[in-house]
Amino acid sequence: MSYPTNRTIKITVGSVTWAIKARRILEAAGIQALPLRGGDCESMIEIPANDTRRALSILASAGIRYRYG
Amino acid sequence: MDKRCYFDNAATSFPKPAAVIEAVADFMKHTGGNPGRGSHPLALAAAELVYSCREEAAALFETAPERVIFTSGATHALNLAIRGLHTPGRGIVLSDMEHNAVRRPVLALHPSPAVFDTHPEMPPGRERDEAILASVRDAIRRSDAGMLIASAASNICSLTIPIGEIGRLCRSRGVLFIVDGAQAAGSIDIRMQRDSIDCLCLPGHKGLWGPMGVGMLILGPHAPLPSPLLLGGSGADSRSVGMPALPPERLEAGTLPVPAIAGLLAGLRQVKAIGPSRIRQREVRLGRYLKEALGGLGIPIAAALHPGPTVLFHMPGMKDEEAAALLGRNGFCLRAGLHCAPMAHDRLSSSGGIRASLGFFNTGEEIDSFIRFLKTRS
Repeated sequence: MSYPTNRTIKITVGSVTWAIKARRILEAAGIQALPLRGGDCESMIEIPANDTRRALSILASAGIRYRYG
Repeated sequence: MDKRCYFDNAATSFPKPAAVIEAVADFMKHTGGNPGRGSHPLALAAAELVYSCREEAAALFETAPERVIFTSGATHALNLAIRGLHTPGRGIVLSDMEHNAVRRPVLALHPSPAVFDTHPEMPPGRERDEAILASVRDAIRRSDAGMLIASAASNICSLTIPIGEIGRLCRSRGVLFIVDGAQAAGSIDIRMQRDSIDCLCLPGHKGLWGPMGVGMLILGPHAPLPSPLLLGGSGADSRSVGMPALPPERLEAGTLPVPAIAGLLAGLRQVKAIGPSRIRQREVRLGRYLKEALGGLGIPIAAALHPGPTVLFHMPGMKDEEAAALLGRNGFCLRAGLHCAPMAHDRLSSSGGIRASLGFFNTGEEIDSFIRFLKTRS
């Protein structure tokens, strides 16, 4: 599946717990993912541009399921 | 007596460390949001705090943070594990020393569970462990057991059982292993993977020094997910008819007891800082001091061979409840009766008793004061 690598992307994981787990795993790898604010965004995170490929690979290796948007 | 001596840590630990009290107050003053019910700063801060508590518990008990399920207490956790994982038609095994938090949900599912012998009459050691394992093997075989539930430590005396060996035996037989860690967590080394535990059920308010109102069901890495006991709001995917597919939210319907979780996080950090083995050493030492002192007054102790902080006895010449009331009026906080554990009392051939359950924060001076008072009554 292709995904943008030159801008931030937003992904949804299973819940707020999984969003925090994902962000902390990425933070440990030096990637600053951010929580989204407003609306039903508790289980979403934003991955910065230029880190998307590495971030998604790290999340997949950690067994974290996600979907785009 | 101008000071209370609290000897009821098996009911709940007291006093709590200052950091625990401060953490609860701090959350209620400065954070206060509901995790997973909004993505504004206070809700996110609350969610981070709850996750940190999952992480801390996961590190102590050897599992992943998302496998730490918050409940209202150990009883809720035990019901979730037992009722959520029982397969109708399969047998259930429990030990002969179980609390009603195990006994009642088991009897509601199965009228005649198999019971294994914990051999309280034998001194601790290899011979006793082998006798227990033989009894476990026999109980599993004759009951076609699908699950086995056992308390790591008794709530009426200082009896413990070899959790790791029982866990490995259950794993080899394909039997789910559920541990009631209510009296063990924080002082006895329990690890999900090393001890082959599928479900560990804990209160936050005893050996982990958190407030009442929170407990945990901790799932081993390969344990099946129990069916949820409660259905309701989970904070995400609101349009879905069912609960979320994944833990922990699948098993946490409704608002979590977040102030209590804040306190529990502080308690876990205190336990980690001091170390469970150091906590256990102190509790064993205090228990030995009390047992020896009671022995010096000619007062027999139930299951006296087993070291630990929980001591069951009677005051000579008095009914247990009257004795506990007298002690309470004089500043000594102990519990009399059956302690929600009639099975355990039956196993010890006891009709009840007075229980002194010491904790890390008790002192030798308190025990001396207690003994001096008992001497005035003899």
